[in-house]
Amino acid sequence: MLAKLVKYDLKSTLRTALVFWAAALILAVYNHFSVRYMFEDETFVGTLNGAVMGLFFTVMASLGVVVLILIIQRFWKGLLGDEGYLMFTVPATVHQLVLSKALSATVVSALSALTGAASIMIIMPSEFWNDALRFIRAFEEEHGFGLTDLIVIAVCALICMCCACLMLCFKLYTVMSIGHLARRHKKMLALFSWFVISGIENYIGGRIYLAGPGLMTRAEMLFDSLASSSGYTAAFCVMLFSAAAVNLVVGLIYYLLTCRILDSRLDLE
Amino acid sequence: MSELIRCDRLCKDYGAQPVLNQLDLSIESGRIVGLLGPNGTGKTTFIKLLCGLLRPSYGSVTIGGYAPGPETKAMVSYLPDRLYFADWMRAKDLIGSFADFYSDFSRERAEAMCASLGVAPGQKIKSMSKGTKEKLQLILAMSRRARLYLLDEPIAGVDPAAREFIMNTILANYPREATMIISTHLIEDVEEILDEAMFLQGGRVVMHDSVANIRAQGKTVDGLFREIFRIAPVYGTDLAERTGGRDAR
Repeated sequence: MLAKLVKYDLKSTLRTALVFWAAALILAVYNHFSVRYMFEDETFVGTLNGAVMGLFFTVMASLGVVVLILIIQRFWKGLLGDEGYLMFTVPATVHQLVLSKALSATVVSALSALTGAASIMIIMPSEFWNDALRFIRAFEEEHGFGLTDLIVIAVCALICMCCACLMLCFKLYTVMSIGHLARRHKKMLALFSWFVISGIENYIGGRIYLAGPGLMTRAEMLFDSLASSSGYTAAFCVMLFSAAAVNLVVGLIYYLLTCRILDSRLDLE
Repeated sequence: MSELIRCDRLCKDYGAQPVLNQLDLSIESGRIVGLLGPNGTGKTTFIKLLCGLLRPSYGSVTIGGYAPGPETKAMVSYLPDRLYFADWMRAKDLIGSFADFYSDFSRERAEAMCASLGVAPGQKIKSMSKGTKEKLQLILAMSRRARLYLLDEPIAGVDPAAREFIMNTILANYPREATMIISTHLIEDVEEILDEAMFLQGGRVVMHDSVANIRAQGKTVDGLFREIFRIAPVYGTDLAERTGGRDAR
């Protein structure tokens, strides 16, 4: 059932995201050919190229905002609005419903990040990539850290980003569920809950930091020891996976809280 | 016939306000039950408790022996009193999603009903009229082979000709072994098809009897409804003055 719910949600989110992804990629391809003439050509074409580049960055900035709006809207409208009359009557648990929203949001976020990265890579002229590859090969020969390592770290960073996105989704879901408990001013209560929960998060984070003196120093020592024993790639990956694990633990708390609220206090009126 | 729905001291409060109060009842399979009562008597709340959209404040409700949850949702087909569609969808998208979600959903039946009710599967829901959207929602609910159908005000807000059409669609498409609960205050339009009538007032069942018994007393369900829920009109002072203080009735 979880897969079916994710499929239903992806249908809804992808149709919006696809427009932005297509726009980013098309503009990137145009800019790839026009970027080298942008600052040399002062004619109408040069101005047009500059405008297209500006448009590209606007689309890229909008993409992040759109993904955030989609995360919020799919939960607020899709579960707590009238669409909830459909979703809460399908043979699924509340856990599956909440998880499906978060997973589809994470998939869209990851694909948006990849599209953004791909668009920037497309814009760069081929000379840049030739120089970059030459530099990476030279660096690998000297320090033993090459393209494969960069790809491994990029994959780990993407996984870490997905975990952070899951945590953000569950946190947003928690505050929206709390807001929905109110009879009136639901959005205001949700916003207020966001600030309260963020405050609590910061307080607990601060206490943990203060409880373990030299936490950052220890992390640096761990990184150095890993780098010297297993190499920089392993050290980076361990650090990224540690950050992912922290996000997953915090996300799990928000997920359970959201499910608890929806399971026991749901009222779509 | 076996018992399908059982409520034991079922209560639901909204804050300090009780909406359902100590409901004890049992409904068997294969019955068409009219859930009757004026607005605000707890009909929708009762239906929402049955389909798991609300949790009881006290007491219990079971369907086929299960408390509301994924097991009961798989056997309950619910037609809410509002539209639940995402506007970007087309009818065929929804039919596809229902076929995914419910193992008892028949895509063929849904498509056949779309054809007979004049709903174009490729049309965007955003561009449909309210009546067409309601028809589509009815098609989705009735294309399932459920054990329990919960229809919340299926004929409210439509003209009498359309009411008859909707009732015929419901009757032609529901399996005889299933139970159907129809919540409405338009009793005349559903009276003919009911096996049982359940009157709710102030969150309590004030009467639950078979329609055959009601008729055996020489009454109609509609007449009984008017008898139970009769409200004495309140006349203003100006009317009393105009009638010279005589009884305005």
